[in-house]
Amino acid sequence: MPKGRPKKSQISDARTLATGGTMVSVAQRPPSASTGISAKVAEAHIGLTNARMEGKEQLEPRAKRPRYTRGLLWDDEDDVLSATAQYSLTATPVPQVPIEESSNRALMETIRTNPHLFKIDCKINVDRYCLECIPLQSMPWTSLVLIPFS
Amino acid sequence: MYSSPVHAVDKPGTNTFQLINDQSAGEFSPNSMIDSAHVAGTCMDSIKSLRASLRAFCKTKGDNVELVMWKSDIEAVYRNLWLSKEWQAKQTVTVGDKRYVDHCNCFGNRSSYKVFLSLSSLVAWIAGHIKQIPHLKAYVDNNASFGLAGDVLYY
Repeated sequence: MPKGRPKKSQISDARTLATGGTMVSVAQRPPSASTGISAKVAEAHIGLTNARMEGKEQLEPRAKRPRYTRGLLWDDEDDVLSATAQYSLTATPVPQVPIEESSNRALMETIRTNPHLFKIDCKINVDRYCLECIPLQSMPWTSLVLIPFS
Repeated sequence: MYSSPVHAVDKPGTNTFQLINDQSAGEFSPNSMIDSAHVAGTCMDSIKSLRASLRAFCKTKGDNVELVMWKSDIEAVYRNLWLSKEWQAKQTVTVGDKRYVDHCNCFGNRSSYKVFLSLSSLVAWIAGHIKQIPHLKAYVDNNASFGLAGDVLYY
């Protein structure tokens, strides 16, 4: 066979033949192929679209507050309330000792027979703390925090 | 009972050492018994929050008002909180040939901050809403705020 690019006349002939062949093969494809693909492709497409949209939404604030400023830019909408103080309104209660622990015979026997090793070492002024918490007793979480003090 | 390794490292900026109570060491470490999801979602008041309060204050009092800022530390921070006797059995400390039971909230524990925050957040709430201390910020054991210059009481 000759090397190099084919002549123009040769290309024209090849294109005509290929078009005819393709038209026939598409008509004979089983329909199940397109059915099987459609659901996954649609889902993937939606996910891809959402990801792009989220990325676009994130880009805008990042442009206004570039990373090199390390979050040290302010505007009038910043919250002046203490996040730490507000945390006490929504935090989950302090967990109690799990039943598996309190029913662990070896552990409970160790604690019972060695009272000199285990003690509650409270450094908080409990009376003062509870006194200040009186106005907050109606808050359900507050009472749970106070359990260890009682 | 469990005993976690304890060692010391250089404390940055000082000539002293920092005690490390490694409760993550080993296959059956105390921290491996604590689900990270149970201690997630904590918070702190950053410098950004303080700045927002300063801006809000100056909006009402004027930009040229002279202020005084203060900051205080809580001594021993996490160590002020005690733990159940059941957990104390899981944090003994070995020194030489002796073992000691640690009764208090430990710095190396995964839930230490969450335990501390359960108390400190309520104290911060009391400070702001009962004691009417405005713009109080809490960052772990550091509390900070500001007031008008001259509005200072030495003790």
